[in-house]
Amino acid sequence: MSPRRRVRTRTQAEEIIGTEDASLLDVVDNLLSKGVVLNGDLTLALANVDLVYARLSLLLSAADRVLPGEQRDFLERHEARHAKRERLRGAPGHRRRSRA
Amino acid sequence: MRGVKTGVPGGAQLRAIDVGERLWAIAEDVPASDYDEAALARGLQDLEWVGSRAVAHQRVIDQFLGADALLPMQLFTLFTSDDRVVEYVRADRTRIKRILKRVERKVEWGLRLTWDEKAVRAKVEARHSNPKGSRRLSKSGPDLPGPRSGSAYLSRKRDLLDVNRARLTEARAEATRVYKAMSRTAVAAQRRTGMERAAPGSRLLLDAAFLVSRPRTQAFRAAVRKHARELRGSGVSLALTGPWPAYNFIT
Repeated sequence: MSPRRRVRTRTQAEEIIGTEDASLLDVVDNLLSKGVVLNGDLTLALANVDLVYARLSLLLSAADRVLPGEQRDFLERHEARHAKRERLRGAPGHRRRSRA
Repeated sequence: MRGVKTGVPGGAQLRAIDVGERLWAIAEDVPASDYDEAALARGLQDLEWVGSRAVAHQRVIDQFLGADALLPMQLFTLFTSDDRVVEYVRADRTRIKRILKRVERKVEWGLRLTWDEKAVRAKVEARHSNPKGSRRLSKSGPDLPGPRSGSAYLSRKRDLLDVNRARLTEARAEATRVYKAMSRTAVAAQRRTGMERAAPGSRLLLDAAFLVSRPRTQAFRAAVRKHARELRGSGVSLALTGPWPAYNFIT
């Protein structure tokens, strides 16, 4: 796991996908949650995306962001935060539009 | 488009749709039965289903990383016809051009610093274990050098706590220093503070994205290597990912 080796060999995101689970999660995270350039004819339904995204955030946290044993606590905090954000915005985040 | 791999499961051959003014949209046809509302609603409950499609989507994007400018579409951006794609781009061309200009000849790199508490703990444990090196049996486990008495136990606990707190504070400051230094090598930088502070016990010290111009890639990577060397043995580990399309710089 020497950082030098990692820096040198990683020229393709594909390699990263193949070698590290956390990076697969990064890929999903990027593709689901980052800026939307074009809205399609069929835009992801809000409720569904939130569902999968909530689980994804948990996995991301479990992968390398949270100390062992903190996961349950984290889940509770995550859900509380999520609920609060929804209340504040009236609609969930992630820059997504609901179907009319 | 020759030599370009196919995209998501069930998809046809990838093709480029000319959307005018030297812009192309990379698309593929997918069967409606696999990607209509009902199918998406079902699929989105399943991280495996989403994951395999995300990887396929990313593979397509990777093949175009060498283009002058690349805008990654969100996963499952679906249109009912090629004409609709052209319409959407035309309607939003000003904004799209502005974003394209920002990411032209640039790629994104991700940098993550994590706190290796175990390494620090091991150091303290080693100091508190029997200095003569003879390991004694302990109820706490065969591989742990157990404390000799109650006060030794407490002193060891206190030491562990102190060292952890002090080192973690140092490590956090170090992460900020690295972020600032790396930002100077990049065109733009973004620190995802929210994620870093998601949990009080989070081991994540830095989660940052850097927009780097292609000619500066070598310099950027050299700077990362320099920081990696400096951080060796400090309990902070560093991971670099990329090149990615500019996911964090297209809004």
